[in-house]
Amino acid sequence: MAAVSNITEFGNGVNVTDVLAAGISPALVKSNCMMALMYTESLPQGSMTAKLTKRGSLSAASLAEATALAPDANGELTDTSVSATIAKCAVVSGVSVEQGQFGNITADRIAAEHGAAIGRFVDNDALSLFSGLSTSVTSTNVLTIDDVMLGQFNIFASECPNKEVPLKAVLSHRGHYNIKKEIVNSGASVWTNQSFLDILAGAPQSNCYVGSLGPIDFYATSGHATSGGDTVQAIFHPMWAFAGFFAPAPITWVKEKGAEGFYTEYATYFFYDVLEFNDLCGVKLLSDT
Amino acid sequence: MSSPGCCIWPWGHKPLILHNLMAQNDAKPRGRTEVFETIVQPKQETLQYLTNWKPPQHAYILFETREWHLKHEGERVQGTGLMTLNAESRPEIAHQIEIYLSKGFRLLHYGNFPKFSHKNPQRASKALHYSQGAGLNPWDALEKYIQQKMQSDIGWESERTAMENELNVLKQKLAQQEQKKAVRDQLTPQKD
Repeated sequence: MAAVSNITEFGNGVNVTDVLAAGISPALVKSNCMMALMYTESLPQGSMTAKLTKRGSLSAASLAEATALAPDANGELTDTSVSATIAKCAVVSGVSVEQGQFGNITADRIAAEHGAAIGRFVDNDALSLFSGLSTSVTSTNVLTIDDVMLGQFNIFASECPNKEVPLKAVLSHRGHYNIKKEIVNSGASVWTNQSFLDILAGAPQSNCYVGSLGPIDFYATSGHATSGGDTVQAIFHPMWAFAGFFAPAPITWVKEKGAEGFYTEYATYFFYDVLEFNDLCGVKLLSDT
Repeated sequence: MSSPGCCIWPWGHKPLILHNLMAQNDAKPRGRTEVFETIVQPKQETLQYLTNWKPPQHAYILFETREWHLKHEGERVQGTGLMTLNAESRPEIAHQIEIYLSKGFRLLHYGNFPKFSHKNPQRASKALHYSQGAGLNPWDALEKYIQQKMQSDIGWESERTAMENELNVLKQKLAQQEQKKAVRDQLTPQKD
């Protein structure tokens, strides 16, 4: 049947277009994981470099009766240090006067996005420290619980202090999945105990925490370095493996530009450094990417 | 410059193709076996990690690590590995290089440093941006520092090659002398 003519249709009117719906999806980006899992200090004053001291120790020796003992290497106390050099990371955005006048991207929103971008940058910088650890466990294929426990064993065997503090395993999402899969596929009686199923039953938290397995807290995130076909993850002690120096907060400058193009420049910077503190307090875990 | 000069490889110009590498390494099947070529020659053990290794898209520094490999049952085996240091947005990382060198790591390679003359305009503009208008590219300083640190390894290799060549010439001379002596002994009549 032919279309009816001369009907007043929707297109005949002047209608409101592009109405914003209530739903707003956040950006699909990672959240910050590492900054809370390391020893932290505020920025050094008067210098861009700070030294973290690593205490040495002495050795005792047995001594026969009526024997003198001169000072020797056993009694020479030597401290060492690692140096942090503060760096700046920054992000700059320009918002046109049209966007400022008619748009809905506010200065608050820009500042918040700058902060989030800087957070991710620092987080990835911290994740890249895993590659520098001198002890590694390479999975045959995918990550297994035994691989993680081997790392735990080495940290304990290295006499890392504060063993009462749960170690942190920061895995890729695939590593996390493979650990859960191993639990599901295992017929071992240990997995009938509810207290061991936290990693399987719990929902991921905003700080990337995904659950615990005995005395190990697991975190899953993205942004790990890769080596060949492997992702470089790690298990480490949160107090002694890595260290960070952080400014209290990012600082945002707002500057209005005229001759350059009528826009408002938002420039945010953040001073920080992350570094390895004690190599033996962490083990890198390499498994299929 | 996306990678260091093409003609300074101390161990040959073409990438090594190790067809039998998979037989040596029981780790993971990786298809084609092409070893990434580095400025400083890696140890034999490290070749397995450089097999099909793809350099990152960002500015990087590649180290050969000295590390303990933890085997199952808790056995520890001394070996090597690879580590990549990201230098993309942070050219002032000489102190981190020092930390890793002090741990016994070796500088193997670097690449993708932003340069004023980079063919990719975005990379060139990044180098200009970081130069703060002073015309000094901070990645140039980093490159110079890395080359200085690599020099001993590169120099050692060329020195070893020169000495090996010298040794080969001397061996040839010795062989010629021994041959002449053998001929002379044959021609000299034996006394009864």
